[in-house]
Amino acid sequence: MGIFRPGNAHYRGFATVVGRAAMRCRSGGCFHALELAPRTGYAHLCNGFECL
Amino acid sequence: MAAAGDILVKTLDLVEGRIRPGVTTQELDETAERFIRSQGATPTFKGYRGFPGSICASANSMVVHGIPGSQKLSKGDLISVDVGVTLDGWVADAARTFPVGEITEEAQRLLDVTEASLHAGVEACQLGSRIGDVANAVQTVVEDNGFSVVRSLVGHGVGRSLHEPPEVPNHGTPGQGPKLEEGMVIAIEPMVAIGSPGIRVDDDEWSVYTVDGSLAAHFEFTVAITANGPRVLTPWNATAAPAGKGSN
Repeated sequence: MGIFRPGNAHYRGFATVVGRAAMRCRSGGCFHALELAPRTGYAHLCNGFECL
Repeated sequence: MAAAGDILVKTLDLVEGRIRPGVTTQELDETAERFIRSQGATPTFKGYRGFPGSICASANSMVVHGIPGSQKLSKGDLISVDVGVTLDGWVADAARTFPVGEITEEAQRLLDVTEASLHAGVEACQLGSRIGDVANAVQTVVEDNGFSVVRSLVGHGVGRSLHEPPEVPNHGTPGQGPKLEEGMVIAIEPMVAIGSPGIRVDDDEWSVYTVDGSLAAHFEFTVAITANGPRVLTPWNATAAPAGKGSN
């Protein structure tokens, strides 16, 4: 589901929950949930490769 | 997210099998919701900011965010089906546009070019690339084939929530925007019109139409950025090769 760009009259904003994403475990091919530090505002990995 | 994506792909396959002249978008919605819940997942869109459906079903000049209802599909229609699946708190988001029976050559070319632009966007998702590289890859395929990218709506980051930063436009300048880093997961979703890129929003405050009434198409993948390149977490059996530049 797309989202309107900021500045558009219909813009509803991004979710406030950020700083989490999924990352492939080093030991397997599956994606594991990782808790991420919400320091950048982007849903990217910033704490290594540990699986929860 | 890959597990959510697997359920999502199966949902789209199931819905595709139900698409025929005379079926209502409400029936497609019910098919999707039943299947998603049977897998222990939830339809992400249902209730999201008040959206009433489990899928977005957008026909012909409707670009995105169509509310499922009593509208019956007709032979020659295009129907975009956008699905979100949440499993164990993780979200996957993807869309495909399907033909309803036989469609015109121009409509088929719209589908082919839009899907090819999505694949071009995915290919641009390399470690160290920027969102502008992805956006430009999509835009180049679309515009070189004579169509327009809808600019008012964008793709997005996706993870615990459906819509997370960064925004992922379908037009842009290479080398600009946020850098793609390992572990980022984004939804790339070209929304393409045969005519003008302008849109209007219906009175229901959801349905988005092309302003000139021209046909539109929408394809979307959830893509993880890995050290080995992009990994599509919603990989339907796509066979479309990237459309050649200027092939129109």
